[in-house]
Amino acid sequence: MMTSLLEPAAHALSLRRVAKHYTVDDRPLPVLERIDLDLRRGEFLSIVGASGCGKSTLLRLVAGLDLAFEGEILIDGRPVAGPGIERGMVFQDHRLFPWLTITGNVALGLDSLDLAASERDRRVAAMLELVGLSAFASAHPHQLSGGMAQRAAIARALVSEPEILLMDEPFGALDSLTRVYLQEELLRIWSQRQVTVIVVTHDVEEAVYLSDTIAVMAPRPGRIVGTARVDLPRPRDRADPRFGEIRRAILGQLRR
Amino acid sequence: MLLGLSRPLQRGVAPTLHALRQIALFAWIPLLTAWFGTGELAKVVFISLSAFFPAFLNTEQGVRAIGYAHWETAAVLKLSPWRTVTKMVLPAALPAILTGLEIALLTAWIGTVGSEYAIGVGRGLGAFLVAARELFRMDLVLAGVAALALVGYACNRASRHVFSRLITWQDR
Repeated sequence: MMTSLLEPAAHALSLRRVAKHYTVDDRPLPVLERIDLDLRRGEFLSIVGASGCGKSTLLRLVAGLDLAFEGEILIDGRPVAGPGIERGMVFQDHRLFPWLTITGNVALGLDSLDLAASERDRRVAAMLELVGLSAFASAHPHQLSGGMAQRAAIARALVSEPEILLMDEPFGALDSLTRVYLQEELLRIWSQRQVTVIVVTHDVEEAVYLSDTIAVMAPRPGRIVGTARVDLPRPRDRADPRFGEIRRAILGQLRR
Repeated sequence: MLLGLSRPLQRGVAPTLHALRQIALFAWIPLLTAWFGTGELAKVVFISLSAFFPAFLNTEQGVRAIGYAHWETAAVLKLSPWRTVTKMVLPAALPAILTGLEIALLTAWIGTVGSEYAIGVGRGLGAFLVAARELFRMDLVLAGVAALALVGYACNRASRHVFSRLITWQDR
């Protein structure tokens, strides 16, 4: 008993036999089946899969937005019981409130911390600096481009200094140039903050470019059919033959 | 606001309110004069009643129409209930609330004139119209109607001007 108390939580995030079903016509329809995952602190994981494979559903479970599931989701050894500030979430659409300035939106991420106003302002300003939006602090979301709005959403998710950053197709709605730029930005922010990141994406190249580990999901019911480690040094070169090899291997798993 | 936010409250109170709404506005007058006499009080109650339903219905509808994306965002950010209302619910429902107030202003104006007309005392435009009709002075009646339209129009313009300043953002 003593040893288990003294033992530090081995993983930042653990999923144990996580499953979920919907009830359709009084019969259970499985959407997620036996998901097991372990993330080290500071690890960058991508979950790839075709649309409808349940990867966004899985992320919502980890975010605490949906508590109707079986199995266990443990953060530092404690089960998830709703959203928490040790997890930050970025959606596909930026979901900034249009009536607040960028500063006001980012400051909402600190609302539950009960900080002094000066400390709050300092942290919001530092966060805007990190994502390169200092000049737009008092702009409203409609005055920002899609890429800038998404950077503001990342700032809002990170301002409370969460241990885990959850991103649901964060760059899916952006044009390809902006997407590549924000991928680089995300890696820069990740290397500075050392957070654990889960990105859900259907873009295999994005997954290979970003991640330490890639989990491949298959649909009906949603399950993990394989995981791959990406050991290429960063910054990664998309033209590197090894990059192409990993990409092909994952695409092969997706087609199965 | 509360009705839009709380489902149990909605189930409990909304049917009563929606039933009361079906009563034609001017059908209240016999009741109100019986309860409050034919003085200023009855008129004030009648005008309040005429303004209440549009404001109430639009506020309720505006709060209920807030999409799940906003609620999810508030949940993920762990906003307190108070912050959720002030930073999310109120601004999100504000356009609908203001539309309600705009209509309420119009119905209040109708109620103001109508109460004088129907309750029958006072020195306002409604009483003026009654007096002019009894004297068969159609020119005065027409002048009164034109004045009514002008005041109503002015109220509407003024409210729009104020409301457009309250909503400075653009939805995207």
